[in-house]
Amino acid sequence: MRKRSKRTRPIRQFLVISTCIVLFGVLALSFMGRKELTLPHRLIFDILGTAQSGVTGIINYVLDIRNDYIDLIGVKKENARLREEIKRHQALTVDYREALATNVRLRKLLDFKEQIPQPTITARIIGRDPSEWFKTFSIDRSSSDGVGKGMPVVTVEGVVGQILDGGNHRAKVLQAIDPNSAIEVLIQDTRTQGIIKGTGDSYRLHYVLRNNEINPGDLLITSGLGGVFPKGLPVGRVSSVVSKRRGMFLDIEVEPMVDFSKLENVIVIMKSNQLTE
Amino acid sequence: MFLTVLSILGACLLIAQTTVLARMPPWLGNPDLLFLLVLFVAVKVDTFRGIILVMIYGLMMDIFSGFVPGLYPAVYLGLFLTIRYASRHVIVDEPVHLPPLAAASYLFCSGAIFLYMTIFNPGTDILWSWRDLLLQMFILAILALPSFHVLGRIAARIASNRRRIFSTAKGGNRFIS
Repeated sequence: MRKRSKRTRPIRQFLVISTCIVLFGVLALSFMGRKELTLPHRLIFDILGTAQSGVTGIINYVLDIRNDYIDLIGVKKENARLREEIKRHQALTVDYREALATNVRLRKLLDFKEQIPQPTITARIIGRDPSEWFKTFSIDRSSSDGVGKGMPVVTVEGVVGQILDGGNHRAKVLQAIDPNSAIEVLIQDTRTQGIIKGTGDSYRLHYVLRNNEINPGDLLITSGLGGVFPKGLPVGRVSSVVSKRRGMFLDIEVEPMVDFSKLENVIVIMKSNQLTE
Repeated sequence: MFLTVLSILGACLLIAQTTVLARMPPWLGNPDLLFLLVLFVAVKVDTFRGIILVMIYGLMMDIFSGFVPGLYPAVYLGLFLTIRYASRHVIVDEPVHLPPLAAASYLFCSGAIFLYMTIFNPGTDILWSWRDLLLQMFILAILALPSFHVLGRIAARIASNRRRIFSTAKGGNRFIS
């Protein structure tokens, strides 16, 4: 038995090797000229690919942890720097907004200035009346700029007041809401005339007869009759009308067009002085 | 030195009042800091220098406020003399008396301005609002004590500087040659 097996071994080996060579040859011949992966290729690729992706994932995870750790070392410093940068940008944004608001305001003033036929000069408010009893403010224009007593002071929204007196470097303006200010006005729609006087924070329209039709919301403009303000400048809107049983005139409250608490820049209309003539 | 420093201080307070404090919301009021300084001068400073100072403050106010020259010097002088007269009979510089003194003095000034305008400028009007008046009196009453404390320290500092300047002529023990 043992003798027989010894004799048959080379034959079996030969058969196995030749079968393998034939199979390999068949496989090689079958793959030649193909451009697509065969099923075994795909199978192997899928298995190896899954393993590859798993290993790569693990490696990346480890590397990420390492990088995160390394990054943490400088993050506090960078955080502080970024916070500083945010603060700086916030300050810049505030500056830009302020510049934009100033630009819009001055552009409006400029447009309005071009509409007024008389020569004008813009002025900045530099100080307000510290007392409770008067409504005046100071501007940075003076007699050296041609600003003189009685000149009207206006803004885009409407009438502000008139120059009280001009010093060498500044001038004082009596606001239209001061009780000592009186402006001749007319109601734009009905052309009813009257005189408005300041009450401290608004106006009161005087000398309008009871038979006139006045309604809340009516716009008041300067009549030009007083000789101070040019005709047609907006002054305020009627806020309430009371017709009392007795008396000839209506009791009319007027809301100013100008927000006097927010005034920053004004226009002085330069009427008949040496500079303008 | 004393007059100069207190005049400059008055100018600074007035500038702050017309610029920074004027932008405060109306319901919060605009504290009349110069008035507190006038009150301090009336209570603490001697008559001669006090009159000069209140006149200077009055002139400053005339420039910045209203349109009637002479109004504020007259009113402040009236207040100064009234407080001087009152101080002969009542102790006005006690801390506990200062808040009511500030409030009452402001009311006195408002009334004096109203009278002055009525008598000397009959054609003109002034704003009279009880709400604003009471608010200002309240603010001044609150600020009276701290402001007197600060102004007192400033005045003491000026006085000590002056003493030092004048006392440095001879140093050491003058009995030892």
